[in-house]
Amino acid sequence: MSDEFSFLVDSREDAIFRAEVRGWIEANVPRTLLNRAFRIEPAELRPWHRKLYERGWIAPHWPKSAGGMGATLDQQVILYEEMVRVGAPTPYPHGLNFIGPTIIELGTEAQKAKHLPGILTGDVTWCQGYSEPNAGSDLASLKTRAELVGDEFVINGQKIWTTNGHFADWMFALVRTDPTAPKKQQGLSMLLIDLKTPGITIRPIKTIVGDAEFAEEFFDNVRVPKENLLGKLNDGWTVANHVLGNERFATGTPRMAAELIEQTKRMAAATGAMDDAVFRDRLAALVIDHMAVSAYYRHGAQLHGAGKASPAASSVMKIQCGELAQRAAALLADAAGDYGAVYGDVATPDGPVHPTAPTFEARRMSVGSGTTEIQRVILARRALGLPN
Amino acid sequence: MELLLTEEQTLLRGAAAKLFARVAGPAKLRGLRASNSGFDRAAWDEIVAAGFLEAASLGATELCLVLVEAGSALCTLPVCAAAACAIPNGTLVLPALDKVVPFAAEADGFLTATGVVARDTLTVTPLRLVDGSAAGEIRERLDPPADRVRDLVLLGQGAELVGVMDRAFAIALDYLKTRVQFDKKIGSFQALQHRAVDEFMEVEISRSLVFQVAAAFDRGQGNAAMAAAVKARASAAALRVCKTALQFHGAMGYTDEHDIGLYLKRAMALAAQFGNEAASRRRFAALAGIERG
Repeated sequence: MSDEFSFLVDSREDAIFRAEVRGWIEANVPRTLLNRAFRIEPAELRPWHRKLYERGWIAPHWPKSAGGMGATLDQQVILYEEMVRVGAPTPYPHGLNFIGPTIIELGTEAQKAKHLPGILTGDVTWCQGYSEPNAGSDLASLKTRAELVGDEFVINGQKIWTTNGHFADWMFALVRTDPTAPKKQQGLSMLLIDLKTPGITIRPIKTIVGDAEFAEEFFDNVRVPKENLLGKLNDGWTVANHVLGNERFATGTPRMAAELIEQTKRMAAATGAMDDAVFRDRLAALVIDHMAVSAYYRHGAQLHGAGKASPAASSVMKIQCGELAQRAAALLADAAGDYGAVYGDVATPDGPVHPTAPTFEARRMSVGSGTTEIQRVILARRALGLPN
Repeated sequence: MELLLTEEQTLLRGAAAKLFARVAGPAKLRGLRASNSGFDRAAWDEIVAAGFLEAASLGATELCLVLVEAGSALCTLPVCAAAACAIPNGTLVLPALDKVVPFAAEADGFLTATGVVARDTLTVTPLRLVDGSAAGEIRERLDPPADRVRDLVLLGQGAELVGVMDRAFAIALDYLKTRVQFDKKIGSFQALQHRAVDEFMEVEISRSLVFQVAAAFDRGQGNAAMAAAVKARASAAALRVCKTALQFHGAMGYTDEHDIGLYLKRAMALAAQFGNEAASRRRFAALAGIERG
């Protein structure tokens, strides 16, 4: 996607920074990782993570005192945009964006010393233990029990839909520590769990894409030291909300849709779909909608930079980016015509394009980290003030 | 989301809101529907005297700030079209961008590729519009003015449409919070909440698009494709938001007595003038290189 509709306005320093980032990424990103149709497993991503770490750019949003870059939001956005511009993968967010910043803010000195270095280097992979078989959108009804016995929590229960659960070394998990609390949001705690602890069984789950993105974990009398509690006992809901709020916005650009629009154009030129006026109109509508969401994103980023961030923005971006990417994926499959069911790369004069993988890759965007329906409930209550 | 404005811009917006609340509004519009021309000369003179037709000389952002207020107050006067022509000294000159031009019968002349053509040298057939305003069909073929005039008109109409849909949505949201059925506020029903959120997003995204494009023009980075995109997107959004707002009001929304219908009608007029959603999207596609292979 060209930058002409992305409403970029870099200050002089930011323009210099962007040029530096662009040059460095082009020189350093492993070619084999570029423009991959499917997600990449953590082990294959690790050398790239390491390079970013060594350059000092792995944690732009972390404060310098914690080993981060202490970058402005604009610089964070630039780093992210320049990576996706060339189709480079961005590091997984669970350590860097979710639990890392939460440990920095709420963790003990011992927790910071133990966990932050591994997140930065990429040597330690994290996963998020939230969902359970009967606690999805209604997360607060989760049942995995952690009982404080002496100096240890004893954990029994099950987590599911854990992205990278079978690749991860550590999990941050929301567990029930006080089953007698009057409200279900009370009585929860956030625990940091070493997944090598005896009593944990992990089973990968094959996804609709065909790979194993996520896993389920069974906890059978798993003993975790008391000092692995993050934040206060029975205050896990607050900690979890903290995690959810962490730097969502910076990574919320509608870039996946932008990439799919480019692929759709390539595919449509190759198959002749571009000669169809109806197809061109649908493509134009999609490009315009992408431009509009980009404008919203840029507006939100400017407010963020001015210390006036809108609380609605991250939910709106999540809904819009997911729906935009899904529409783009559908149009790409349409553009492929009779190649539209091919499960593999289709050659075009402008490079290979996979006509079906994006349909599945884009599905996760409206389900993971709170479905678009839950985001709408959040907006109805918090942004519009509609009654319960 | 709020706009990041300078102090001068905030003052300008406040002044525009005050003026349009006085010279326009639902009650005034109802009066105009019954008048012969649909044109409020006294209101027009006040708007000209206040200097709002020169807002574009301050910047595209300033013009859009003024026009959001005009839209929100249901002002049907051709502020956007006249401001884009930037003809000083109070004469009403409108751009010859289409055969149908709002308030053509009231205009002194039309801006074309070769300058201003006086109205009395042309045949103009008067038309009444759905929102209570008027337009004229120009019989003669005129060459349209430079692209920058069209760009400013399309962008400005986008701003007016944002004003219209923003106000209509606010009225509908208020109704969701007060109307009781099944012993509950109807805004507590999830089916309506999700629809309300969808319309909220339309308003928010349209506003961001208008003002990001305006800012791009003010930096000298705006282009005709962006302006066409604004018109296409804002037209679709405003019609959708206003129709949902009507639906939220149930039978009340179908009455002439309730103001909510005035916003839908105003959105229809703005959307149709100088390139509707489909025409603007075709224009965008051609400008953005979405063309036959």
